[in-house]
Parts: sequence; C-alpha cells; structure tokens
Amino acid sequence: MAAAPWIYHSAMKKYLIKRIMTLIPVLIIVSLVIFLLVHLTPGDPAAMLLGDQAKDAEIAALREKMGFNDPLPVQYFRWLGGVLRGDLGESVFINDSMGHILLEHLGPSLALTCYALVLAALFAVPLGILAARNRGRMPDHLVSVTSMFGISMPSFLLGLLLILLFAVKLRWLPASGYTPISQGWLKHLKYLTLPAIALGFIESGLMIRMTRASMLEVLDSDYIRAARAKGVSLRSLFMKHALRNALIPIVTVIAQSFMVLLAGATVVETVFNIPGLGQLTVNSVLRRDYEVIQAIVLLVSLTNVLISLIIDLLYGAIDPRARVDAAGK
Amino acid sequence: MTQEEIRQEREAIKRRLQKEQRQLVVKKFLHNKLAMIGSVITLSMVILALSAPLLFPEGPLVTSVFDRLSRPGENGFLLGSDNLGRSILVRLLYGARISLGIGAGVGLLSMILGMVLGLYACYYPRLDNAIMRVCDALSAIPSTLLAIAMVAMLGGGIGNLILSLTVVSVPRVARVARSSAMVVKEQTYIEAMQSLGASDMRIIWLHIAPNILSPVVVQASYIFANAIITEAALSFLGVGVPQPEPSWGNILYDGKAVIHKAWWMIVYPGAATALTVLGLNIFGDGLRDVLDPHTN
Repeated sequence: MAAAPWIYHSAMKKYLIKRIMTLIPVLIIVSLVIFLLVHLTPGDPAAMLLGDQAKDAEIAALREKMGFNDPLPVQYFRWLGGVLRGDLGESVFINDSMGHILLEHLGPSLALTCYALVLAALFAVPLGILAARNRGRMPDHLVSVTSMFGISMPSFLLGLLLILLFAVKLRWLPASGYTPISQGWLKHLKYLTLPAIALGFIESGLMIRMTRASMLEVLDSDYIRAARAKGVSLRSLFMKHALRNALIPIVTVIAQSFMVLLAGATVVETVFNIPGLGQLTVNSVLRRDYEVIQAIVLLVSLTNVLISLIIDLLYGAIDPRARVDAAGK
Repeated sequence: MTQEEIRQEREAIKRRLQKEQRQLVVKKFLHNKLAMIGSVITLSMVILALSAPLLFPEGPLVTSVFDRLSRPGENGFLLGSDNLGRSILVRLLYGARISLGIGAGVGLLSMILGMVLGLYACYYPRLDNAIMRVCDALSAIPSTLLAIAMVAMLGGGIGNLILSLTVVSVPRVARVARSSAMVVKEQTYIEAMQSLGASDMRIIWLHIAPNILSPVVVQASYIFANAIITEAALSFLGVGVPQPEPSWGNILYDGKAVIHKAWWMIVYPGAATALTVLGLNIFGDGLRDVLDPHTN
C-alpha cells in the first residue's frame, strides 16, 4: 500500500483537529472526577490512608507531607501537574512509586485481555456470519439465543461455573493462579484459558449481534443486488463482496471490546487469583489505599479515551465517507 | 351544537383514539414472544422476592451450626445450606429483594435523571455542550471501575450502591433521551406551541417528554439488568452490600470460599442472577420491537 495520503488531506486535518479539540474538555472533566473521588470523601484522607492505629502526630505529619492542608484547587493543580509529567505519586501502603506498581500489575491484565479478545472474536465473527447467512431460520435463532446468554451472563459467574466444571469436577485445568510467559507458553496459556473464556464470552454476545447486523446491512445494499444479478456465486458474494465491507464496523466493535474487557478483567482476576490491575484495585479498596485506586482509574480511563480516538481516526482512514461527514459538520 | 358540546365531542374522540392506540400497543405486546417471555420471567422473580417474608417469616439470618453445608434436600434444606448452616433457598429469596430492589432503584433513578439531563440538553443549546461533555467524561471511565471506586470512597451499603450505579448509568439514558428529543423538538407542533407562547417547561414536560418515553424505558430495562450484574460483582468482591445481609453477590462471595465442597452455593444464586438478567434483557428487546414503529 502507498503512504497514507489521507493525513495530508485538508478535510482529514480539519477532522483530526476537531476530534482532538473535543478531547480536551473530556480529559479535564475526567481528571476532576477522579481527583474529587478521593478528596470529597467524608473524613480526613490522611487518617484514612494511615488506618485506625495511626497516632495523631503521624496523621498530621502525613497531611503536611501530602499537602492535604492546602485548598482543593491548589491540590488539584499540583496533582494534575504531576500527572502531566508522568508522576502519579506513590502508594503509602506499598511504599513504592505508583508507576512501578502499575507496571508490575499491567502485564497479567494485558495478557488476559488479549487472550479473551482473540477467543471472543474467533467465536463471535463466524457465528455472526452464520446467523446472517441463515437469517430467520434455525441457525439464526440458535445464534441469537447464544448471544443473549452471553450478554446476560456476568463474567465472574461464568468464571465460577467454569472452575466448578473444569477444575473441581473434571480436573482438566487449574482453578486459579498465574504464571508469567517467561515460564513457558503452554503453562502461561493453561492458567489463562478459563479466565479468558469467562471474560471473552460476555463480550462475544455483543460481537455476534454487531457482526450479524452489519452483514445484513451490507447484504441489503444495491451493489450486492447488482453482484447477484451479475451471477456472482453465493460463496464469493459472501466472502468477497459482503464480508469485506461489513468488516469495518466489526473491527470497530472488536477494538472497543478491548477496553470493555480490560475493565471487566477487574472481577475475573479476583475470581481466578490473577495478580493484575483488577486484583490490585480490589486489594487497594480493601486496604483503603486510595491513591492507587485513583491512579488505576486514571490509567484505564486515559487508555480508553486514546483507544476511542485511534478508532475514530482509523475509521476516517479506512472509510473516506466518515471523514468528509465529520469535517463537513 | 354549543361550544361545550363540541368540546365534549372532541374529548370523546381523543379518548377513543388514545384507547385504540393503547389497545394496539397492548395487542402487539401480547403477540411479541420476546416481550412476553421476558415479562413472565421478571414478574415471577418479583413475586418470589415479594413473597419471601410470607413463606419464610424467620428471615435469612437463622444459622444452624450442626447443618453446615448440607447438600440440597438434606436436613430439610431444599437448595442446601451455606457454611453457617443458613438455608440457601431463604437467602436467595431475601437476596432477590435486595438485588432486584437495587436494580429497580438504579433503573428508575437513572431514567428520571437521564431524562432531565437529556431534555434540557436538547432544549437549551447552551447547556447542551456542558451536559454532554460531562456525560462523555463519565462514560470514558469504565463503569465497573468507577462504581468500585465510588463505593470504596463512600463505603458499602445499599444507598451508596444505588447512588454509585446511578451515576454510572445516567450518561447512557441522557444520550438516548437527548437524541430522541432532538427529533421531537423539530416537529411542527412544537414550533406551533412556541408561537402560541407556551412556556418552556410546558413544552418540555408535557409535549416532548411523553414522546421520548419509550426509548428511555427500553434503556432503563437494560440498565436494570446491568445494575443487577454490577451489584452482584461488587458484592462478590466484598465491597457491595455488607454481610450478613443476603444479596445474590454476597451468597456467591460466601460460595467462592467453599467452591470445592459446595457447588450449590454457586449454581443456585448464579442461576437466579443470570435468569433475571436474561429476563430483563429479553423484555427490553421485546419492548423495543413493540414500541419501534419500523418493525412489524
């Protein structure tokens, strides 16, 4: 493929600038919400960070050290300044820099999310196509029921049921735990398989629906009718003409699912005892380590905003109509 | 004919038309399999939840140390007992009151708040940007994570759970309400109302709000379902409804510790949660089909 000329396109430039401009207020509000989460809680944050056993002098010292005595706006801008420089502070509880703590827990979460995403896509896209091909007939209804179950089944619940069946009853796979990839692929995947199925199944419900809907929309269009009239074989009609055009919304949903899965991993990690961001969140809640919660929420939200920006830009790159529409408005 | 008679005649015609319209919707609803299955499931759960104190007046907290972890059917426990010898059946029924109550509370509150925000954002372009950017920001933070963080800060408990889950769900309703209201606002009759000098409040609440109700109600049924899932997840993580109150998530939390010994502590509350959520989702899909004029 040639170098992407769309980036130099003036409509695209306009679209890019407009899209980034709308990000700024969103990011400011996100940071305010996350900041206020910790600072509007009833009670003294220093006392909460140190727990019930802390002496008054220790609490006062920490309050001074963390700057809790300053007015809220001052604290906000100091915190925001730190965040912009990449300094998320440190956890009083773990006594380590936040960046280091987050990095340590990010690996397992990313591995689980990616594995779940692959499983979900491999499961959902063929089923969605199958349903679209057999619209209104038995396979379509079966697939609809499957996707409904996927949407209605909480991931942690499916996780517990999978543990019951495959770990407790059949003893095929381990019930919980995690081994890093450095100890071998097979072992890594073995521990992640049940959690990835539990996490991926819920998202596949939505993916099936989107795949089916976007295939049906394409199949209804005039150029498909024209191709059929021309005498293109059914197989080629599906694979070449329909699927390729239906793929754009499908890929968008898959990319968006990444964020849903990363957030959903919170609960699944706790079920399977995987030392990722989710488990860190829950542990931080239980030990009232609010700074860590704040940092995690910020990290995940920023990733979320960035991914949706990238999806939008890619959309503009793939589909010329999208960028003309957006710039024209 | 006197003026009074004409007015009465017109009222009668209006009532008849409204009745016919209602009958049409009801008929469509009764003929829609999804909507019927969904409402039967949801209603049975609600009836079971309401009847809990009548069936088991002793309450869900009665322990019996000698009957810990009884299998289903053993020692008079129809669905088995938990690690403290409490009946799973009784805890499930009482738990339904809490789980469904939280879900319904969140659904209703998000519907009201979302409609207010969506309607005002649509009607006053100046508010539009501000309200929608706040909604964008709130939905940029993953909902489970935001709910966990809020509950962590505010403390567990049913009131705080409802509050946190509502904050998480309102942007969704607000968006749907706003986009539906945008269509209604452009109609000629709204313009006519404006030129007749009707107040903004009257136009918004008497003439726009009733016409955006159906998509908002459909959203609310999905939010009801989602709130049940999130409540169960938070309680399962130990940050939701405080023990020993039974909620479905709490029973699962207890069950996880004894998963190797007591499958019934996972399967029954799990089935209750999944079935209710399924019922609500099917109901929402059916309702959407019934209310959407494009599908027949």
